[in-house]
Amino acid sequence: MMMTTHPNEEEMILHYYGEPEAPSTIDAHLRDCGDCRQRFEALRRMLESLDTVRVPERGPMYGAEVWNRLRPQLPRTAAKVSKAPVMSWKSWGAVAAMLTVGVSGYYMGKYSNVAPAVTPEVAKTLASNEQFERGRQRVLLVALTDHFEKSRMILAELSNATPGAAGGVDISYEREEASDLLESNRLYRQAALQQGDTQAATLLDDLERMLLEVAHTSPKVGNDEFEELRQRIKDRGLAFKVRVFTSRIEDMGKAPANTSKGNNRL
Amino acid sequence: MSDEAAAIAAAQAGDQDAFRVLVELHSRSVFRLAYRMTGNEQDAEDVVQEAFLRAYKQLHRYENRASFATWVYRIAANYSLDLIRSRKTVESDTILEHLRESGAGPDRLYVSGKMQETLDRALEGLSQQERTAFVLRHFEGQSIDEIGGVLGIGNNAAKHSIFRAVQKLRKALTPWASVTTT
Repeated sequence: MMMTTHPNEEEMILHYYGEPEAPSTIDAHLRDCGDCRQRFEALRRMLESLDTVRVPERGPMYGAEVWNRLRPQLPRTAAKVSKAPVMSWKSWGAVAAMLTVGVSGYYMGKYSNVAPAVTPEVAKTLASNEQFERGRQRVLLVALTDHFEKSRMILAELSNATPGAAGGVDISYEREEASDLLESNRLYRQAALQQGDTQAATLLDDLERMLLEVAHTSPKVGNDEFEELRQRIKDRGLAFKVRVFTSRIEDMGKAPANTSKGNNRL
Repeated sequence: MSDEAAAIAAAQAGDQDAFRVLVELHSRSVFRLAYRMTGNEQDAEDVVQEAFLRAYKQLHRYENRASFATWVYRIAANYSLDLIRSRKTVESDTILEHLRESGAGPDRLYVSGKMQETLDRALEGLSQQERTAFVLRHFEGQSIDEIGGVLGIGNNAAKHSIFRAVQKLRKALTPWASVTTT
């Protein structure tokens, strides 16, 4: 059956693209109506003229090439954070043990302003009594608190930054800070994993991925990219989780240590 | 479960080799889309790289509501738009270069070059939504439904974006249509 009215431009566009919504009788109408046929032909010529612009070919190995470039940039994948992390004295004690063995020099040096310097002589003396154990854990807690606090500050600064009118956002400072924190975060995460504390490891893993993302972002990002980054930080709720974690660690540092019972879970 | 679905599930569980399957499967089509969006070969390469990197980082957010291709297209289209905004101008040299390599004569080169300039200007005149919708419909042959999925809009809005894009392009390109088809 022939259309009783002439198809409008939108119907012609739908017809050109073969959309099922185009009037089914449009073909018959175009055969019988010279004016509409002319209009449709003009539309077709214009749209087909766009196809003269070619896209550079990519060979059959292109996917493998993309993968080879991509692979070194891929961060480690982690599970979702499902609930607030819980970490025990026992776990942090083990973390302390590991870090004392592996990176104690780093932490002792780094935090010498808040903890007594542990020379071999001092350590020998302290090792003979509980004071050393408590001191070691205190140093670790200070280091952990500092780590989480610095991470939280980066997230907070990114969340509160004001995008520029046109020139994007300079995140070079946050980028550098994130880069600095990555190594210690990795050590904490590994220690938590070794102790089987998956919840703490998950938070640290999530934090690590965020730090990695910030560290790998351009020092100056466009407003939209920045907005996406900020949205991801917000979506993950990391700043809040880290704040809760930090505050619990601080409380733990104030409480009397009781590592043997393991009942002082955060 | 299809091979692709299995690869997605494995990639979400942290299997990088499974993600490799997805990259190899979709790289070329993402490149085509990116090139259509940016009009520049190097930018398109950047978009491909960044789109898959972002896809990997956001894999945990992927739900099977849309196909993986549509989801990656969405990421690539959004990043392309960011890039276009940051660069402001779209270079047309690469396209002309390809026409030269194809052995086109000087007249055709001139016409194609001029048409490309006009097309670039016309594409720049489209809103981001119109441009994405048009590229996906015209060059990538995606359905209205898929385009709506990529842009996160309803079918009617996707359709109207295409209408507006075609109308604007027609205004800009009609003088060239007769030249290039003769």
